[in-house]
Amino acid sequence: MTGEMTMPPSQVQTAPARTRPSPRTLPGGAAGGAVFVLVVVVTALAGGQYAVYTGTLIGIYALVTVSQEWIIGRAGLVSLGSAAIMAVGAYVTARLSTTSWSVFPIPLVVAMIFGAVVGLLIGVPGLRFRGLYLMLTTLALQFIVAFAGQKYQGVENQSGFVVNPPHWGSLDLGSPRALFIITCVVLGLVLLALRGIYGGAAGRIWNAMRQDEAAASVLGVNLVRWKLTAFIGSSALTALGGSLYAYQAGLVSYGTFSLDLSLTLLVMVFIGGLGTLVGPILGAAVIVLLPNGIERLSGAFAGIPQVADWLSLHEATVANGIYGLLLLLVLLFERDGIYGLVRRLGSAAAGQWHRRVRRGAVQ
Amino acid sequence: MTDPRLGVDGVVVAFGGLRAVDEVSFAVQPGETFGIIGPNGAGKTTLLNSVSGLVPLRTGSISLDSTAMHGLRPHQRAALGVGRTFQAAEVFNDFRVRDYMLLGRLFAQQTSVIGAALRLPGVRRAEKSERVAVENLLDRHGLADVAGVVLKELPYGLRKLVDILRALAGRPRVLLLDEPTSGTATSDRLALRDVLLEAGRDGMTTVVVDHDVQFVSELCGRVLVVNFGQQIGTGTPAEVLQRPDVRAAFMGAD
Amino acid sequence: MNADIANVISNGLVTGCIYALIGVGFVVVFRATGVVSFAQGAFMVLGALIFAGLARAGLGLAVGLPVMLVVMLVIGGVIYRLVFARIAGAEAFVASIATVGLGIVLEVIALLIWGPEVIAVPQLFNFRSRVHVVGELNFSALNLFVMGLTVVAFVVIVVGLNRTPVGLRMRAVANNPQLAAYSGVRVVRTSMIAWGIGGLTAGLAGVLYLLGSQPDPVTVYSLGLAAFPAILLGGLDSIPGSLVGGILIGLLQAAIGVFVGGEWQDVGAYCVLLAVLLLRPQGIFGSAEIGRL
Repeated sequence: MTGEMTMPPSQVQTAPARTRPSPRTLPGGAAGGAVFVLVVVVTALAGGQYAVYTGTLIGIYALVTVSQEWIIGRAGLVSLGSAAIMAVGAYVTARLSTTSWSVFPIPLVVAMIFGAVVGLLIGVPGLRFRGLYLMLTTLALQFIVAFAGQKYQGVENQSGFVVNPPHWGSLDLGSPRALFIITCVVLGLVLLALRGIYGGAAGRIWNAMRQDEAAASVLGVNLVRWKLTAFIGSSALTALGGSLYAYQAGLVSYGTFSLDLSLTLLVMVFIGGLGTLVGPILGAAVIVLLPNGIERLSGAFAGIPQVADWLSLHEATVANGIYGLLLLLVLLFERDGIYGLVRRLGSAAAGQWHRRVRRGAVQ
Repeated sequence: MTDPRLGVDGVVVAFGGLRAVDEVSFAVQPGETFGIIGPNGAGKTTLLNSVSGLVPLRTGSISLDSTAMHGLRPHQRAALGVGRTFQAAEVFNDFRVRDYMLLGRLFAQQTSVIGAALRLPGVRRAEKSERVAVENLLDRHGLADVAGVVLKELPYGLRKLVDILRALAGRPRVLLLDEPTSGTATSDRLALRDVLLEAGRDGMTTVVVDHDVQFVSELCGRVLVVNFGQQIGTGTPAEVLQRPDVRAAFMGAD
Repeated sequence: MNADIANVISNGLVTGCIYALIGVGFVVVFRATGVVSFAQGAFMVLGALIFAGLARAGLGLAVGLPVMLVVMLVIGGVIYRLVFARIAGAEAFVASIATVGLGIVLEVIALLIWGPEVIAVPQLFNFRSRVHVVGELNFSALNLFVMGLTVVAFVVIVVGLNRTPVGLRMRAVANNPQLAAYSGVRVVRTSMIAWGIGGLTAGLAGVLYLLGSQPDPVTVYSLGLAAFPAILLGGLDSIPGSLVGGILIGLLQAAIGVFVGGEWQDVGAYCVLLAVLLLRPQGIFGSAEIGRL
């Protein structure tokens, strides 16, 4: 028995390739962008009330999940406090919306700054060590923010702070359609910015850290600094999502931003797929549409009233169970999430097609 | 003689009660290619890890151009000019060759996150010129056609070569090579040797840890032999390999 | 002794014991498999509901409690085998996130089977009988039962880990899974036992909490998360730490409840958690390496 046998397992020489999901280099951004713009324009022009409302919700959650993917998929960290940071952005927006600072987009920018500051305050104690400690710190943040929110609302604002709609001088931007467009424009800008970041040196640094922290540090990566950068950036964008949420809901209360919301956001990111910008958006869309799907399912069982009643009675619980199950399944079996699954099925189908073509050519 | 480029003095690394590196000292002069050999598990890689800062020293000191480094974190040592390759070529499997090469030039790069987010022209220009430099480098070593290939899809020997080029691209003051030949074929070794000989002619200071005694003998003017964490001897390869205790150490292991 | 202080001590010790039981299962699981389990709360819910079902069926403590413990032991082990054995060894961090999903699934299963109402359990104790200790300090029979069972559980676990072959294997796996595997320890089976113990102690904590309060499943579930400050304070990998951390946080929360106000209890505990992370991340008794985890 010699020295290296008993070395701590995390050192460079023994570190196996981590099997965390691998980020791809950004695929066809122009095509993806064109699809995004097309969907947004069609929905904004021709979408019904429900489509516009659901679209806004998906856009807001997509913004938050994309920012959470920044820390999960790039820096390899997990936060249980994303809802708390959304709450920070939402409270800031609610309070500013009734002052002379309410001119769009000032509240959004201030919300981002507050989010970044909270990210810094939480990141400093939480990021000195490996991922686990950030989970615990953000768990604490979740409870502390809920409590502070409750105290802040006090008795006179027990049901929450009212949010005045966004405006440009006398131009009201608070209609559902205007909010939808605002959300999509903000989301689009965030996606562009993240593409710029991930495509450059910073993206490579996070990629290296995610594959092997110790080895990355030997290449010269200051682990704490880059984790903190990811966490602050992601917190700023998460607070931005909270700000949009405040406008959409019209009322901000601590009860909305619970640990359950944090976990749901986590589920969205993981089931969508890490390492891409599309994955988290898909995840947000699936989870937003899921309760609706269950409702339809209970409609489909209208012939069997027992099943239909049970489903509609337990809709929220069933949806919650599906979230948990999806998270478990994705982590165990399909680490690249829905997007990875789609890609794999797509390339398998393409392979089939190629084989068929080749067979045809031979015959 | 002037101050050595890399000075390792009385280094002890212990895990629990076990001394993986036990009182090892050596000095590498600027421009020298220095070898460390020993049977498997002799503590060679642990020794490199202690120079990189991945394992803490129990006692001893490590200096680079007479600057004490042993209190510094790995990234700080890298910033001072400690470059290194990895024994397992799998470490950064998910990178494309060109992106991995870019990672080697971390210190030359523009890493402003806000600049990248806003797509400032300066940041984009810097990124572009870095990319051109890397393509040129790959071209010079006949690797232009694999620039877009993901590392895990390359043959093992080629991955090792890319790893060394990545480390060289950062122009380190001392380059630590961890088992460059492990898992490679003879033809790969010749290519690796040529790259390292060329780097040596350019004045690169290199420390090579390897179990292939012949490979190390061809590259290095001086070698250090370690076994069970202790140094058995230092000298020219020819001298050292004559010694009966060194031969016994290698025979015993194989 | 002042009546307030007496109250703090008796309430704090009881809450602390429940935290300690949640914590000790957590620590056993963490040591054996490196997984930080966010599913302890769900195991508590299952244990409480299974016990309540048995009690309603007429089984008293003497039968219902052991049966529940065995069932939870099996559930914990089986879940490890089915869900975590594949990934726990290689990717403890991913497995830790997966426990979040597991916790949600188990909680939802419990809610769908038993419903969200307050868990009904027949009166098994005469709550009024109080045992006088000193000054104003007295304990109800239930309090003594909770503390007694906690002590028994800790004694059994500590003796079991230090004196029995299973315990020695578990320690070997905790210290170095690879080495343990080389030396012939069946790592998966040993880890199954560890998860079984995790489920069992959480189930016990759930039952003891159930007997003292009239909680609904969601409240029981959230207590599993509320134990994290105690676990971290004691040290993630220390069994004595889980007892000391649990009692300290229990006493602190009881003191906050009496002197500041009940609504400050949880936030106080989480502030302790943040302070521990800042000042002594390995906790009171944890090993220093844990800090780098």
